[in-house]
Amino acid sequence: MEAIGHPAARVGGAQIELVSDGRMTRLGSLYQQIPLRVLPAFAFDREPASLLYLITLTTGLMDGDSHLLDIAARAGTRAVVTGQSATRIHPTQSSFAAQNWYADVEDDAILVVLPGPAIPYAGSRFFQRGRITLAPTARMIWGDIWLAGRYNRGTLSERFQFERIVQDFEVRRARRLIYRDRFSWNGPWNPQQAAWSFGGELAAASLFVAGTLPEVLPPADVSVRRSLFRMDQDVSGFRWVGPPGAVTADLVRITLSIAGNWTGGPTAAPWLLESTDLAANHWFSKPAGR
Amino acid sequence: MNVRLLQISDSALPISGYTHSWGLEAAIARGLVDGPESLEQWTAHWLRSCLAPLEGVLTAQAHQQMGQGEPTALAELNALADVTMLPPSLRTASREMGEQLIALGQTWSWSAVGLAAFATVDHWHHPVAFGLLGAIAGASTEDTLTAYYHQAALGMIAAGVRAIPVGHTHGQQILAYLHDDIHELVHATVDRPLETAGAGCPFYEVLCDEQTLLYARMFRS
Repeated sequence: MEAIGHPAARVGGAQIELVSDGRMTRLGSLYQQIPLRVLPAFAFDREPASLLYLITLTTGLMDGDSHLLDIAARAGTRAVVTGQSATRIHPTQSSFAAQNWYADVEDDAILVVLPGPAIPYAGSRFFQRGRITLAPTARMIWGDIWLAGRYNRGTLSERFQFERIVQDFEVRRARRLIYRDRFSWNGPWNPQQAAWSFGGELAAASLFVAGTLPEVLPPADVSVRRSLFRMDQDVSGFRWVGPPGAVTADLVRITLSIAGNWTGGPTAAPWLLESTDLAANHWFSKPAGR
Repeated sequence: MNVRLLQISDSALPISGYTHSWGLEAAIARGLVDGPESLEQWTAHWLRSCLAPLEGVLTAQAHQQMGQGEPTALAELNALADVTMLPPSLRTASREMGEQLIALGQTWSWSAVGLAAFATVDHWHHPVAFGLLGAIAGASTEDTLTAYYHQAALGMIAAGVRAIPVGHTHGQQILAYLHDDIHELVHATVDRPLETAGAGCPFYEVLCDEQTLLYARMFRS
């Protein structure tokens, strides 16, 4: 894998194998190349899934940076793969920044991937590709959160000032294409275009779910608009628009509630969210006092 | 003048287009569209951000695939539409209109023979069916795409004329204002590769979902 064009661009990647030892999910083989690092999988008592953090050692994605993440979730594994914070996408001069995700989910595995909110700075160009392969009984959830930019800096705020964001996400089960999320957002957006796309809000999000949905889902936060779209048997998509914090919290709650339902039934707690082992200082912590 | 292209673009074609508003009804219910000016803006955004990047690319691709005479390629376009159109109301509308258009085309003297080569395709989406019939009609890809965008804009405006309501004269003025947009979109999408087909409009998709939940509604989508 090579840098895209800028002389200072960094190429990083991780090839991750998740294996089950019958009791917990842990790392199998691992190759990592800075600036990406993979922390050892956290396995908490009373939690059915392991938590795997991807760490970016730089301050985000710069002009020409390219990340490649290749995840193999072996049979029977249960894992949440996530970044340690939002992804900052810096301005580009001559090229673009890219993240390429590949995941192969084997039978009876449950893989949750939450890359974290993306913050496109003014003048940024970002390309994200996802290619997911599911075995017949594999289950998976993938969530993307798109923020308006650096939206809360007073007069220095940058809202919808990116140059281009391209999403190219495809999921196949047994070679058949079952879900596709493809768009090209060409910025900067004027207020009318932003209102058309984000409904006057500062965040939008999407969620892909491969697996049976619970009959009852947690109610949506009153400040967000959330829609569920059933595609095919056991394939669903969600969309959100709303304030960034509320959209993020609602997406994570839905995601981990569905996963909890899969492993523990209708009355089970969401994965991780009720755990006292998880410090309340990462991007999907329940905000203090809520 | 290609009269066959005029026929498949006719707003009176019985393919149930008049029963759909493609999310407009929810926008009206939320007060986002309330008159001619906002209807024009809504339709322009919809054409540019939602219709052209996905359905426009599919229409052009279907037109170009017809020359190959290969049903598999068109079946793949329909399959791609199945998994890319997220709101079920839009997906169902596209399939119903596509299949009714093909069924009509199978009864027309100018298109029945051409369509026979694609009898193995098991379902149709509207842009794919339209692109194929445009090719059978002998129209260029550009003209077929122009006709597709024009009939789509007219369908949206006609829904607005009934639901807001807006006068028919205003409706036709809005359509005239959008002609330049349509020409620009044809130029922008006629040669786009199939892998770029797709539109990301989260708020619009949420509105399409809300439309199905309205207490009283005129349209099916």
